[in-house]
Amino acid sequence: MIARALAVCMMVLGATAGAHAAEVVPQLSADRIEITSNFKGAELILFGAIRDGPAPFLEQDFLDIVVVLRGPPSTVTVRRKERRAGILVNGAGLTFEHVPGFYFVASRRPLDITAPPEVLKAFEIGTQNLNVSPQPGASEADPATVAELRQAIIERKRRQGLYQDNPGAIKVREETLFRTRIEVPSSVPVGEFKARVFLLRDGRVLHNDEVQLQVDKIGIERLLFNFAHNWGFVYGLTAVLFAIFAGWIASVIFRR
Amino acid sequence: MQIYLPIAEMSVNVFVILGMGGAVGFLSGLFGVGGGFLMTPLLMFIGIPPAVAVATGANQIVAASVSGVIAHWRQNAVDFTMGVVLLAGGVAGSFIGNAVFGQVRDAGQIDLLIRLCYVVFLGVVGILMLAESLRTIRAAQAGKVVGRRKPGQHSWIEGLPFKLRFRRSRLYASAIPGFLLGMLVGFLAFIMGVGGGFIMVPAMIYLLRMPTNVVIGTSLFQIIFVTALVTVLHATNYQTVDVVLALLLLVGSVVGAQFGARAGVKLRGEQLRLLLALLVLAVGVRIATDLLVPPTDPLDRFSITVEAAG
Repeated sequence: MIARALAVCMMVLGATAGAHAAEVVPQLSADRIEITSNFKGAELILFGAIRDGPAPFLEQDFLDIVVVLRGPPSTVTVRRKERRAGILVNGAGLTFEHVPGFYFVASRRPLDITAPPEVLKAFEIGTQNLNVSPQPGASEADPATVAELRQAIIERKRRQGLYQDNPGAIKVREETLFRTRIEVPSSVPVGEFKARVFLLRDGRVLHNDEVQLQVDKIGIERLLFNFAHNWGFVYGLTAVLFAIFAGWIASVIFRR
Repeated sequence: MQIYLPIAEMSVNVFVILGMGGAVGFLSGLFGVGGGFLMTPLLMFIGIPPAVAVATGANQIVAASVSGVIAHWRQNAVDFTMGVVLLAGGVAGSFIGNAVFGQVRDAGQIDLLIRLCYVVFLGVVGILMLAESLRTIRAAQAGKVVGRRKPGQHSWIEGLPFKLRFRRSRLYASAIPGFLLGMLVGFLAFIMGVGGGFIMVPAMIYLLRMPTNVVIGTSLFQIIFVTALVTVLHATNYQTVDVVLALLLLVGSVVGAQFGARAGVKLRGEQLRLLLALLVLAVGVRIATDLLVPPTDPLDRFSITVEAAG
């Protein structure tokens, strides 16, 4: 399937070469991830083509490619555990907005030699450059605390496999084709994902393009989740009736 | 074999959950207790969010209690008048629990409240049971028989108003202690995801002076309705009841309980109570360490909650 999609890319490349400025044409091996009862995570391939503009790349030009896949934003509250009256208690919390539920970055070279910090910051490239900031109004906390709590979120997500930095994970063939592998863990949040591919030269972004990915629960998982969240009361009653029935069955089976 | 839990939103090993259900079922069959006080902490230990563990635990107890009460009902060992008094208290307690749960959750301290309740109640009940069983064992070795207080003795409880006749228990007593006991149990059922039998049964025997043969059936009667209400309240307000998880636990615990009940016949009552006391204390101590010992991993010194997606 990948080979065929690559072939299509090559045809597009051939048909329109020379008509545009330098471009990347990205493609994902799947545009949907379906979470079923035996979902163990998924593996995606992001691949694509690079085509040069009216002024072709010189031999000595080194093209940088960066791939960012991010999941739907969420609101996250972090609290530091503090000792009060001898026991560990959650301290005052700080709520952060625009925290991606999933964030993956891969680059051809390490990020610090790919682009200057301001460019990385502007495009939110790299987990350290995410624009994760406290909710407006809650900004009384001192910057050191904010930085520490922010770091705790990123580090936790990294451990859960939800945030990934992969410098050097993009393979480029003959300065025209690139690909990278993305491991999506089973704890991935559902929603709309966006994979953005950046083409850079000398630390400047020449072009970027985006492909979409939808992560959804399907089948019985989706049904139960929607039922529980939209019809909580009926779901609760059903769960209870179901439990009564199961208990009765059990007493019939094991009647002594 | 992994299975995805739709409400907990995580993937777990089916055999781990079945095994846990089986182990808790075995112990509950062995000791004649519901086992909720073991099930919910175990779920938390394997990484199920505490709020989901509590709500799902309550749902699983509904099923376990139904199969239990049927047997007692057949033997006419349920005092329905007392059951209704306990239940009325239980309903009040559940709604109080619901209100407190919401407040504490919004303040970001719900994990702490759940753990604190476990430490306090497991600690108190464990120590009382340990003392009682050791006393019985020592007395038996000395050749004495330790009796309960004689029925003729009076206490302040008997002076309370709102007296009712509890026919099956052969009691004429105030409804207030039963109501208050039911209320405490209803509150704890909501916060801890337990049936509360481990508190209700001793209290019914020693405080309400009910005959032992109707205690279990009557407490199960109350537990079914209270845990059913708790399940519906959790599902309506917090969307934390995971039916897939509940089903797996149920299958494991029903099978485990059968083996436990058979093994229980071979052990003496006071030895069983001693073992149960040690088990209760062990769970309490394990939860207490989470509250007392700072985590070695710096990252565990933070509590992180994802509030809303989208």
